[in-house]
Amino acid sequence: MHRYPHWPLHLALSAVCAAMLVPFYWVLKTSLTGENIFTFPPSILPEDPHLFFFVDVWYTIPFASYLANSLIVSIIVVAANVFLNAMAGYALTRDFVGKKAVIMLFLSCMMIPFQATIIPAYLITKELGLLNSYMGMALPLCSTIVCIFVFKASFDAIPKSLIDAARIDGVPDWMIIYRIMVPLSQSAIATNVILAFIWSWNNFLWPLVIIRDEAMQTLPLGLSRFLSVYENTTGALYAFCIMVLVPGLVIFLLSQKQFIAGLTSGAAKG
Amino acid sequence: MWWSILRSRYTITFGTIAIVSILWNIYVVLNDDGKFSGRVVDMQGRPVAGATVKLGKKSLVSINFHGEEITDAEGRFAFSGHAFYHVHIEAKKQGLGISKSDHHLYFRGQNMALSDPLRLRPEPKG
Amino acid sequence: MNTLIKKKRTRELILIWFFLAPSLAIFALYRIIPLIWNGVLSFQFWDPFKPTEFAGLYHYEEMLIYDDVFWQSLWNTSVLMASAPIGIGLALIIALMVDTRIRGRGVYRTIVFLSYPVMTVAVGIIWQWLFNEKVGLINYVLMSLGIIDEGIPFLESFSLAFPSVIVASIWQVLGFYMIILLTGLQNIPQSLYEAAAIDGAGAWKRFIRITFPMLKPSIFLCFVVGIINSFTNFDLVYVMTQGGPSHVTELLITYIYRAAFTLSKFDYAAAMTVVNFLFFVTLAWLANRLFGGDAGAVDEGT
Repeated sequence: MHRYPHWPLHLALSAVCAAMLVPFYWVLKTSLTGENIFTFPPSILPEDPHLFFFVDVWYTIPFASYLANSLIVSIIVVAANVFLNAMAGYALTRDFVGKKAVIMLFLSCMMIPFQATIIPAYLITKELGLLNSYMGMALPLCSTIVCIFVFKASFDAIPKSLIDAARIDGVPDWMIIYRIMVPLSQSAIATNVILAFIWSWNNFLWPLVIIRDEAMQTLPLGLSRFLSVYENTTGALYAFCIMVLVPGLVIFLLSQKQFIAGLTSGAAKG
Repeated sequence: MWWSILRSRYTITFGTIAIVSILWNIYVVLNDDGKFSGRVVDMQGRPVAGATVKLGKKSLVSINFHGEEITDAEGRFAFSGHAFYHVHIEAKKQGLGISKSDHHLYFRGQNMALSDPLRLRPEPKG
Repeated sequence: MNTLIKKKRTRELILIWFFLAPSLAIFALYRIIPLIWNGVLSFQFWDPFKPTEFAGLYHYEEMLIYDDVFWQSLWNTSVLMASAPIGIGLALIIALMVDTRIRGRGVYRTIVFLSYPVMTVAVGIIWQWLFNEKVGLINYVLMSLGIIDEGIPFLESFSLAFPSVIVASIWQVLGFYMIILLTGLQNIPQSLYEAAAIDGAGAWKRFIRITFPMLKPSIFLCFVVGIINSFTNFDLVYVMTQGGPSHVTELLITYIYRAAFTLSKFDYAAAMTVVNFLFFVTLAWLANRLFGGDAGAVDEGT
């Protein structure tokens, strides 16, 4: 195609990347030095860095408890998601009476944002006795329509000849699913795991609504509580931010491909 | 097949994290006897015997003193058994002055031996 | 023979419905029933201790006629939505730059996308501090460039609080828009560009005639995401300003949360949720019409 110089692109893109990275770098710098909270002007490089804000955070707030709660809820959500979505996705590949109605139902559920349901969802959770519990936090997130369609597309892509051959050989349905379809949909499973984990890990509004116990709070709740109790006058807040950001970033960087593939495939046509 | 699982990014990352945390915890367990030792000297660098050294826990708002020791003939002192991570140490000798300092530790009760001696300065008047 | 096939078919049907049941149950329990219950609640007087009584249009009247904060938050939500095209435009420029054959485009793509998977609460804290009047980075840059003399209280001023929240929101969503647009760009067949180049079309014409029309589904999707974001962006506002100096940054969703869980007025909040939802659905439908049909939605499954 046309040859044009690359360096303006690099320049522009580097400027954009700097704009995206500066907030992260700034938080990291403050968590290491505690300057720039009261002093002015700030410096570009960390002067005199130390790790003691992280020690403060570790001992003054129940970080381990927050981390454990977030982790437990996320694991429940991921496990439930993989099973329920795979099952529903498989069911949607078969033909049956009412299939169109079910698909329309799923699509219309996609239009109902979670925030439009928080009040009755809170009442329902209360009726079920699940307030302040892991299951209560996990239950609304246990199945997502985007992921169901991801599984459906992945199952549809398995060559029918393979399944037919197995059928003719008399293999029962459940064995077909377990031995053939599931191993061939590993990327759909990976996508599902990543998406469900990140959505559950970052979820703020729902735990805020149903958790009142100090002991059951998750990371986002802990972070906002810290902000309201200690205000942003200590480097410990930013150390806490870094400690909260790092797992999310690590997980994202490890699984970029699946994450992006999941977001775009479930959303774009085809 | 096992080899590929072992070499996947996830195992390497989480494995490294697990190994590092285990090693760190071993180090912590071996070094958390809460020992805190050092020397007290005066303005000229001569060791001060019989100075009173107090160890306190420093929180965001206050200092709580927990122990008191007297330095020996060479100005040395040693505490043990504390479980704080932010330590305030105060050395005082009548007539020679006072020395206050704060020390951050990496974990509760980390063993620490001060390399710089605590220098007694005359108390400011007023 | 016939009965054998029938039995197999019934067994298969049982399997299918058994598989569908848990997901359907979750959606029924947490999406459909709540939606209906919201509607019902909005017409009742709800009290945690007294039995509910029918209220008619009381809450709607209170909301639409007497509640200024409701109209303020509705306006704010619309402004946030109207700012989506800015984010989409920026993301389009970035996506176009990343879609070329420069080296390291994977790295650029990752870095731009980094802001999306992080916790919104942390993003809120970071931006709230960047905008800080005394020690914020933005004030520092402006002062060292000589544009202003002393720090601007971004998040406490009536006029600047909401634009600040919008900037933070765009920063966070930019990566997501970019990824969608990038996927759309990569789906445009190269042959179209080559044919146009042979025909002598310049870069701008190629963009207008090929790229832009073929990106329409992706742009529509970004719009939908932007609309959803403006209706659901609770975390950022809650952490940055809690609704701002006297409600200038209050979104509908934060007001609903406050009415329901701070003031315990579940019935009033339900009425507002109904309005919120209807508004959102109408806008999504309008956007759909604007982009000509069912572009970008998930296919029915052929």
